Amino acid sequence: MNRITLKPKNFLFLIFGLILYSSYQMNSQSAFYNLPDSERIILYGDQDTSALFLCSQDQKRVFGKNSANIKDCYAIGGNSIGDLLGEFMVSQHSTEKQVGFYTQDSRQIHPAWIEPKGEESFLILSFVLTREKVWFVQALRKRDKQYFYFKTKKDSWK
Amino acid sequence: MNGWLFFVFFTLTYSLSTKQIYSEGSSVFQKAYEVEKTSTLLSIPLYENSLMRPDSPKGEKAAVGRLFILYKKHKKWVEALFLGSRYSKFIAKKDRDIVWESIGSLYEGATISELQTAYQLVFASKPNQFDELQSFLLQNQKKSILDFVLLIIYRKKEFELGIQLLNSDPTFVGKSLYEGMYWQKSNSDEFRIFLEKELKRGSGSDSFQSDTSFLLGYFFRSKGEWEHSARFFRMSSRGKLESAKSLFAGGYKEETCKAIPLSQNTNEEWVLLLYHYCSSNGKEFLDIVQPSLQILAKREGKDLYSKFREEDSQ
Repeated sequence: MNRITLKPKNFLFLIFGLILYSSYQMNSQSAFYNLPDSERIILYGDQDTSALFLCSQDQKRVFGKNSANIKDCYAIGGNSIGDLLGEFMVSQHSTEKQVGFYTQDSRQIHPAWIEPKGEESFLILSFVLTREKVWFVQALRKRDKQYFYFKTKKDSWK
Repeated sequence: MNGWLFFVFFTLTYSLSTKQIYSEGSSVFQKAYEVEKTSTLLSIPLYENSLMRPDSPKGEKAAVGRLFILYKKHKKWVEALFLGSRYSKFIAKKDRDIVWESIGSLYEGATISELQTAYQLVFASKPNQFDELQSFLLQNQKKSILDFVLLIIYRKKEFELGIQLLNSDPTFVGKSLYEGMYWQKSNSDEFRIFLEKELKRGSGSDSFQSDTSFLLGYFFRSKGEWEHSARFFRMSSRGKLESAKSLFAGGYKEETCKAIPLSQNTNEEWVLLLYHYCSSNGKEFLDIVQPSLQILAKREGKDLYSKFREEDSQ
C-alpha cells in the first residue's frame, strides 16, 4: 500500500493552497455593507417598463455613468430584476461588470427604491457584478445625494 | 613595502568613497533647489533626502533651514515639529515656539504645555512601556490630546505602540480609524482580520460607516482593486481625495479630474499633482518634479506615484 508522505515540497503546496483558499474566502465573504435581505421594488416614475432595458455597460467610468452595450440588454417588461441580473452572470468575465437602466433610445436613467427599514429613498447608479460574481449596488441617497455602495443579492430586486 | 602599498590603497579607496557620498548629498540638494523653483511643495521630499546624507555640517544646516521654511509655508506642522526636535541646534527656540502655537490652534481644548508633555511622553514610550503616557491621557480625558498623540504615533510609525495603547483601556474605544490605519501600515493579514471584526461589530452611526468605508478603500487599494477602492473611499466623508487617487491608479482620467476641486495653491502634494495631470499643459511640470516623485514612490512602498511615470511614457 502506498503511503502519502508529506515531503517539504508537498508541504509547500499545502501551505500555498491554504493561502489561496483563505484569500478566496476573504473575497467571497466581503460582507461589507450588506443590504438586508428583503424585497425591494424598483420605482420607475412615469416611465413605461415595457420600453426600458437592463444593459451591461462599457467600463469607462467607475461610478456608473456609462454607455450601454446594446448587444447585452434585456427588456424589463414584467420581469423580475433579480432574474434579469441572473442573465448577466452566465457569461465569463475577467473584470467587473456594471449593469444599468436604459430607455429605448439608449439614454441611461436612474430609477429609485425605498429601503424598507428607515424608508430612505435611493437612486440607482448601477449594479456591479464582481469577478467573484458578487453583486453590489451603487446609489445616491435622494435627500442629500450622499453616495452609497452596498453589497446585495440579486433576488432582493423585483 | 606592503604596508606602504596598503596605506596608499586604503587612502585612495577612502577618499573616493567619501567623495561619492559627499557629491550624492549635495547633488540631491542641488536637485531640490532646482525643483523648488518650479514647486516649493514638491522640493520638500528632495530636501528631506539630502538630509539623510548631508555633505557637510554647512550643507546640513542649509537643508534644515530650507526645510523649516517650506514646512511652515505649506503648514506641515508635525513635520516642522519633528525637524525642530531633531535639529534644535539649527532652529531657534522662537521658531520652534511658532510651530507649537500653530499646533495648539489646531487642537482646541488642549493647552500647548499639555500637548508638549504628550509629545515628550510619546517619544519616551515603546510597545509594552507606555504607562506614563496612558496615565497622562486617562487623567486629562481630552479628546484633542488623544487625537494629537495618535497622530504623532502614526507619523513616528510606532504602529505596535499605537495598537497596544488603543487596546489598553476602554476609554480609548471609538478610535478604530486609527487602529485600522496602524494595522493597514504594519500588517496586511491583521488589517483584514481587524476589518472583518469591525464589520461584524457594525454600527449604524455615520462616523462608523464613514471610518470603515475609508479603511475598506485602503484594503481594496492594497489588492489593486481600484474600482472597489474608489467607491468605498467616496462613501467616506474623509475619502474624496483618496477616491480620486484610486481612480487615477485605475486609469479613469475623466473621473479623476472631476472627483475633487483641484488647485495649484495647495499644501497637498496629490492635489497639486492631479491639477497638472488634468491640465492640458501639465506634462512639463510633471517632468520637472520627477525626482520628487521617485522619492515619494519609494517611501510609499507599493506606490501610486509611479503611475505618473507610466502616464508620462504613454
